[in-house]
Amino acid sequence: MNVPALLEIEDLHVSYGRIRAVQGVSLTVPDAAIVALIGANGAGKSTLLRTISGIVRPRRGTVRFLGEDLVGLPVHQIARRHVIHVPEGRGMLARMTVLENLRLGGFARSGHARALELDRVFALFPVLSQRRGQLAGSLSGGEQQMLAIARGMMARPRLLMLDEPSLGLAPLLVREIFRIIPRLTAEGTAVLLVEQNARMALQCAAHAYVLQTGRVVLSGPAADLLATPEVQRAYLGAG
Amino acid sequence: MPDLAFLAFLVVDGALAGAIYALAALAFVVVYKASRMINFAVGEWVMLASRMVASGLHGFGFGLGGALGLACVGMVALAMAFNRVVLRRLFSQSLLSSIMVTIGLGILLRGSAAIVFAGIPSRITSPVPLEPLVIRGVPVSIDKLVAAMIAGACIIGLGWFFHGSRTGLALRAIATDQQVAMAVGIDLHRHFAIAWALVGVLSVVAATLGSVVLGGGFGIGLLGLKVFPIVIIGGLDSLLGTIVGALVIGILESLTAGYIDPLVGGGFSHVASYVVLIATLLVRPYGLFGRPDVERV
Repeated sequence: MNVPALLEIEDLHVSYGRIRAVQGVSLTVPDAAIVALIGANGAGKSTLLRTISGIVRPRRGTVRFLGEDLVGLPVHQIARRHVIHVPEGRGMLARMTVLENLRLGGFARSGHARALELDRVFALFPVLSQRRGQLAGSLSGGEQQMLAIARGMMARPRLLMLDEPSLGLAPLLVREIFRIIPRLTAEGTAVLLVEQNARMALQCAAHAYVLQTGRVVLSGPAADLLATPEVQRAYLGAG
Repeated sequence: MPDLAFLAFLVVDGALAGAIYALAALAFVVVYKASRMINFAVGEWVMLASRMVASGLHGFGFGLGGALGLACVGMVALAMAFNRVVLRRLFSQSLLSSIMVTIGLGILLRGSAAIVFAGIPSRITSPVPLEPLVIRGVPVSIDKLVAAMIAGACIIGLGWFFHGSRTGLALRAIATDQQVAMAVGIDLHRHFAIAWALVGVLSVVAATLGSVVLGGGFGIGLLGLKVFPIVIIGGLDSLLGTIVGALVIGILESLTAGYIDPLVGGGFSHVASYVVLIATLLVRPYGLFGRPDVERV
């Protein structure tokens, strides 16, 4: 098993001033797998994603993607390596149309590749095809989340990082989003999923990491974590 | 001239001047759209461009085409250098320091242009006939008409660039949310450079048309003063708003010059646009075409 993982993070430390947000995290994302990152607010989940995508620089540690260290690369260069971050709050360009948002997602690609990708994305999200001429700001919350994921998919990501995709959505839409996420891996995309909704995340992921105050306290196959008493007590609301 | 023909003359003349104002205003809007940065020195950019065209004509003895080419190269080089050397360094600082530095550059340009271009005539003569065309009793100056048509073509081209091209889409994305733009793989600094290069080219076109029609020299820098009422009326980042704002200001100046200046002994036409500017700020602070920032939570 000497095939390098898609993403390998080793001993990562990130600080905001004197606050240590991430303290020595190591994690691995295999190719075309779903890996969940769960934990309470402020555990360092979003910081980890922001570090991988280059928005934040770590104090120490490496972020290897296909063997290459991403630390220090500018954000747009990391995106061009097909490492795509869909931030919490979706980052909609509300005054642009759905189609313009999607075109933008495929910005770094040729016109031909973009057109092909658009067909694939519309097949995954038929509702966006119907709304293509509408302004993104006029979509419902669930549709905006789909657009955010779809815009990420336009770059044909090898790694798609989703930050709280279920945030603020009605239960029915949460289920819809979690029905779509596994289908993304069929396109050859690995997903690193940050979620408050631990149950849904653990049900759809292959592996999972539990973060607590910037450290990995538990990790392993998602199904095992789902059965762990500590996880059930702390994150799944079981007595 | 009968009353109605005089009115028609003033409106047409003002609108034609407004088309040229629109170009200078667009030089402002392009940068604002891409980086939310306010360039307080549009007038100095236009002035410098007009001096470069004039020195191409009179200093080097080029034809109009050669002079325009020379000025474009010079202005684009200045714009890219300014972006690369100054603005890029200030990128992580507050926007205010970038805005202040445009004022500094404006003063520098004004001062050094007076020295560098000393002794070179500033006029740019019109290649089209000067006798006005008379349409149903209303005289229309041909040079203004041609200038307005060229300005119009540039504006249409710019509209296509922003809404039809990949680079334009990227610039609009940067204007809305820099984080999102970077996250899809857009190189911010490269696109800021493109926006500033556009400022250079627009300055050359506005300067040339303005010098032909409104007279050249340092007075052309006054075009910069018209930019603020125009973009405030238009709402700062709307292309359509800028065009309408420019036409409104052009016509307003022309009408006040024709009807009110003779009564008060002149000068009011220069102030009129600022009266409108203040009125707009009081009533619709985001401009007639601008939209207040609405966020969906």
